[in-house]
Amino acid sequence: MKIGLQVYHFDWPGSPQNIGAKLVEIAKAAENAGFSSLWVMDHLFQLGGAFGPIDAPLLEAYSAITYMASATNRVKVGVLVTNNVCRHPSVLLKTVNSLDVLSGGRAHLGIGLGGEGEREMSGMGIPRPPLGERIERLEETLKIFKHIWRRDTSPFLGKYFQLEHPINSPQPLSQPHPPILIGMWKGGREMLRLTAKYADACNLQFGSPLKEFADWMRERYEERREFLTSRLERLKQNCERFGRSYDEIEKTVLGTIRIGPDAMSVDDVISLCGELVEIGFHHVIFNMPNVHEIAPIEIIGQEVIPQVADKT
Amino acid sequence: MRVGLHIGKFHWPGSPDNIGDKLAEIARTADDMGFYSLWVMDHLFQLGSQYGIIHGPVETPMLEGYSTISYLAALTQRIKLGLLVTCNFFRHPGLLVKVVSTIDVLSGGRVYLGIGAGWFEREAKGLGIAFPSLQERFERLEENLQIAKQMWAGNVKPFDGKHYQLAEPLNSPQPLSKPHPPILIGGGGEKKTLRLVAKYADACNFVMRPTFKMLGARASDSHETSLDILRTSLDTLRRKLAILRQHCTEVGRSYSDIEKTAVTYIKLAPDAMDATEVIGICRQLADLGFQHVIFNIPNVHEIKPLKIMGNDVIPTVAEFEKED
Repeated sequence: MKIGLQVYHFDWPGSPQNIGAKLVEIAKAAENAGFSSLWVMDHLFQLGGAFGPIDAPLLEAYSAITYMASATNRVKVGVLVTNNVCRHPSVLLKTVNSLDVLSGGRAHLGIGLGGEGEREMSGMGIPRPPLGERIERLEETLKIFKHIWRRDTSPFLGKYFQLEHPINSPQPLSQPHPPILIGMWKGGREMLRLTAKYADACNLQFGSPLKEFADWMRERYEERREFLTSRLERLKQNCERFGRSYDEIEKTVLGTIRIGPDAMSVDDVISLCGELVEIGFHHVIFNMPNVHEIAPIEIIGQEVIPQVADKT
Repeated sequence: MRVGLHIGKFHWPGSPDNIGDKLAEIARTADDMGFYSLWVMDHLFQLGSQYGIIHGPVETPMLEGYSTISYLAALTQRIKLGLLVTCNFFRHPGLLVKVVSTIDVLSGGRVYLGIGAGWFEREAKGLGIAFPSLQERFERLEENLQIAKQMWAGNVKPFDGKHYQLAEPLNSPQPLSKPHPPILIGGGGEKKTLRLVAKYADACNFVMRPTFKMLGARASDSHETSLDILRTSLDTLRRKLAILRQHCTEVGRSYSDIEKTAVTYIKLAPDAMDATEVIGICRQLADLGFQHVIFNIPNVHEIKPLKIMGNDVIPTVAEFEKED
């Protein structure tokens, strides 16, 4: 089992002046501790509640992750997950592709519908179509990426986008291309269909046991086993429907933890990992409110990663 | 006079596999050698045959600009970073302001917002990006500048433009550059672009047409000599500055507040330019009133040209000012 780290907030002592230096410190510490992957969210406003007030510092995702890629050598990097309607698909493709080339082939394309984005999108004046259209647009983006990454420069004629001559140079260093990860909260029918059809990885969420987080996060944690099991089952059905190998899709899961006397012990985290492996996940991505203290990264590196690395 | 470096291509021996490492080497060397600024383009295709000898065919490597400078921000300490220049219609304005603010914060306050109306129709259509009329591109550019100014002033009141409507233009963290990253508008369009510079910008940028010698190219069949080209390009630049001054007077802006930058090409090599000749170009530009010259050095990947600039050019031209 692999362990990843998502950085979801930038509001720590010394911020914003020390954000650049602190992110380098976090990225290097995670790489040295044996984390497999490094992620940031794609939001324009902070999410509220325990994530932090909406006006707390929040970095633009691709700038932040490319900067962190620059400070590391081995760890995979990506955005968990890109809001599909925030950028033009061709600009997004060039951006992910540049991250891949600059990092020496370490990028993922993490992408989703842009679920919680209503206030930030109208706030920033970015159109956010209704759900049905967002699903169609996500599928079209995935088709564009596949088209371009298979080195096809013939016109792409979609419902929303028409690309007359989609040149992409340089092509990614990752072969055949950076893995496509589709992220979701609800794991609805359409998202699992898109995953089976287009994705190399699927990200679900286990919420959080932490008392400071909202009810909906803690409810998800309570029902995680049942929820995650049912979604992977549905993914498997979709794979059968499209003749896709279920095993070739990497199953990743994101959630919020904190190690401490008032939160979780190291053993709690190890047993959570064991449970997630048993449900069918290969890669657990943690985010932690106190990540900037660095010690939580080191503790996971010393006490959790060696214990769970061999679990399959 | 400040000296900047413009990286206009990524096609060198070992590319694309070594792009990350080579760019790191270029940026670190430029930072150590005293370059004031480092710029990349904002293109999705390389520029193609009309700019052939320097930039290369449209199929040659081109990186997304903001990813590139964000990557370089982590590798450098002092050098300013920017896009020469952002294509206004590639990104939503609110997102663009977030991107520029983010890289400014990450770099410890070292970013310019370089921006222009955008022009490369083949690239936009090739990738399915709407390419509005010239009139509309300028309207959109002006609104984008207004949005950047508003967000950087910390004003979250709704912005209700013709093309963009932002209900809550919140920007956190704000840039570390105070009051905000300098806004550089690229281009010498006399009616529209220079008006926008006078109204909104902290810096202007003009292209100085290079001579054959500066490019390290053989003169074409044309009867135009290098001396003719040099005279014409300096005359053009002089005229642009005069028109900018006029716009400043008309909108009540102080002309001297605007940083005058120029970009041109120099190949530093035995068959092209040497340090003394580059110093001569700098002298002429300083005499016209330019404070910052940005060189696209086609053989930058050889690294040696950066060292020549750092050892023999930058210290000498640092003291250049306009002699009135």
